[in-house]
Amino acid sequence: MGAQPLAKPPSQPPAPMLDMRNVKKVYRAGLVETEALSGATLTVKRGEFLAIMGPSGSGKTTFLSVAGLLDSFEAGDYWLDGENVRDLSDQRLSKLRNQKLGFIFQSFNLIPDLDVFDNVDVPLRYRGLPAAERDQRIEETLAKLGLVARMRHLPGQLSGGQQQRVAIARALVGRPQLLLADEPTGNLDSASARQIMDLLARINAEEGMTTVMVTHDHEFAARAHRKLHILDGKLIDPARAPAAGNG
Amino acid sequence: MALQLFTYHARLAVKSLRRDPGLSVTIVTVMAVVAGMFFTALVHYLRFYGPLPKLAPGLHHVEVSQPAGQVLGAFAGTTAEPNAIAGRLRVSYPIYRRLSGSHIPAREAGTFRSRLLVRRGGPASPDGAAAGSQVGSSATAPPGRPRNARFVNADFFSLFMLKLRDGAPWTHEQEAHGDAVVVLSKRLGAELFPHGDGLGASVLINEVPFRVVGICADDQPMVPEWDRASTGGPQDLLYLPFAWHIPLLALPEMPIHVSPVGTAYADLLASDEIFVSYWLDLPTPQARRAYEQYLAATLGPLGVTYHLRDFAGLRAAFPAPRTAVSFFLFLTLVILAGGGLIMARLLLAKGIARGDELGIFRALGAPRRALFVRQMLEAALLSGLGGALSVLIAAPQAIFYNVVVADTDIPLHLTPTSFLITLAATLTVGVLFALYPAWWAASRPPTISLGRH
Repeated sequence: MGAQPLAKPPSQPPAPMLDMRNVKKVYRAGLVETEALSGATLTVKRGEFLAIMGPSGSGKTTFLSVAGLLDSFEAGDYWLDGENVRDLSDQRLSKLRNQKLGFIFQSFNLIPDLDVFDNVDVPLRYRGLPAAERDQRIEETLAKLGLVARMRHLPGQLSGGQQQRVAIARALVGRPQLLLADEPTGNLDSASARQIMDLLARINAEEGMTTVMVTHDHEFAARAHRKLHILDGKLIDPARAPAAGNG
Repeated sequence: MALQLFTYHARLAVKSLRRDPGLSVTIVTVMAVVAGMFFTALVHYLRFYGPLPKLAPGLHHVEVSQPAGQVLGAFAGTTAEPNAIAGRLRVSYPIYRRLSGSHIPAREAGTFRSRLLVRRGGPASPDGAAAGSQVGSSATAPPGRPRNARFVNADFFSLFMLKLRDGAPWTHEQEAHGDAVVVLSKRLGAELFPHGDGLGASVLINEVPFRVVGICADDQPMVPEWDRASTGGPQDLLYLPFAWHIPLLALPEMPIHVSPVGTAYADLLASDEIFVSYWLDLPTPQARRAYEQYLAATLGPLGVTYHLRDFAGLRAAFPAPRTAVSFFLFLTLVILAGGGLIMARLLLAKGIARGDELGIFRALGAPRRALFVRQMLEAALLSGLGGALSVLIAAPQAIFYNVVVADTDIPLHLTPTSFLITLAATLTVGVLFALYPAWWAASRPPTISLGRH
């Protein structure tokens, strides 16, 4: 992380949910360096539903990994809910991931030998909540997603759509402020994909959950409030031609 | 919260064992085999060098140095070399007779071992006397098997805190009266009286009937530190009142011939060729000082040098010889470490196989430290299972050994102590060698674990 951190932007409440300035991410493999993010600058307001589109290898997943605090970055600054995350400890980053972020992955990423209930329980375990409160939250979330009857099923016993609903339940159970979805419909048939998309849109609309979704699908991207393209690690706002959004 | 998370991770670690059953079984098997080797070596080691059983706290040993050169030179370099220590550790029979009966020690016992012919006699008579009272009364019966018989005074049992399962040691009165009484070892008791009816029964020793007044609760508790110069199989199978060596004409196990003696038994006893281990209970510093003065007054005029040592001092002065058992214990420790290395490699493989899951946990908020703890718990579980399983591997070997050595040796004991030491050693090795794989797995960036690069 070479550049000096920028001063925190003026605190004009409410602060944006996600605020990136000139974020660079480089992967090194031996002597070869690949710039996966080239000075990404982006602001996502609270309650916004943002879709990011781009071809394979354009940096979508890297962007989501950096935004989700799963990966570090070499330069630039990133404020999550007003907190600069650049030099935070692993402990603090883990806490932020646990309390402010919810992840939905293309391949669901459920733990295969934990049943639905226990899968949804994972993030709450790192919150230190009492067992009774955990149970109540899990049951409420599963009920909202129509999964109560499947509570004691293992992921392998569920359809793809059901598994993704479990993944969404797991992402929502901690009541995060930012939902990061990495091609959430990529592994689903069209009917299931539409149901999942409806669900995400409803969560955003009803609960005001800030959502950033990476997708290949134009139809689903169109349901977002805003759409960005990413190409060669650069974020492009099609509404501001030709290369707005990059720092 | 820390305890909650610990139990949560422990539960996940148990689940993880089923995740990669092949790897889990391999790790447990490797650790069980190497821990089994360690366990086997350990029980052999403890048999020779283990902690001493509880002894009378005031226990002291009297040593009288024999004329220099005559004894040691006779055995040096031969298979009987251990016998040579008799000349340094024991007192000759005439000196023992001169020293005993001072009434300074609270208790005292002389002891030596002999090989005597022993067989079961008839049942006890109603008045408690042993059946058959004539020497050689059973001319037609086989004469019995030669056994290690130890002549001791009544105080011997309390000095060495030997526990009796049945009956009690003979009393001072019985000893003074010359009663023909015997205490059997657990092994001989079980062999001669398998139905447990030995107490009060008769045992023929060199065809003289003796009444069984006690049967030991356990096998001999240690290599015979009470008589370090004993040779051959260390197990004492029966205990007889000291004075009975004369009527039985019992030859000491180890006469050390330094000069010609007459043909009578009394000539042998009067010579310097038989030795007695001589033990005292000197419970206070005053008693010890008084006995030192007594030794000086008794032996000084004879020009005989002597030592009075407590038990710890004796052990320190004559440590148990290093044997191959020590080397094998060390070797098994090295092998255990080798097992740890194999385990480390397999844990790394597990870490790779489980990359996705670890990445998911990281994404959901698990800090690196929590995943490290979880990986370590799994390693402890695997090595702990291996350590526990090792007993199943080692126990048949020990049982077989005990059957083979029968009454000629101290048996191997599969004690909780040796099990706990093995478990602790296996856990320590398992945990130490899991440190790197656990750190490696927990430190991988979640993106790499999730295969997102």
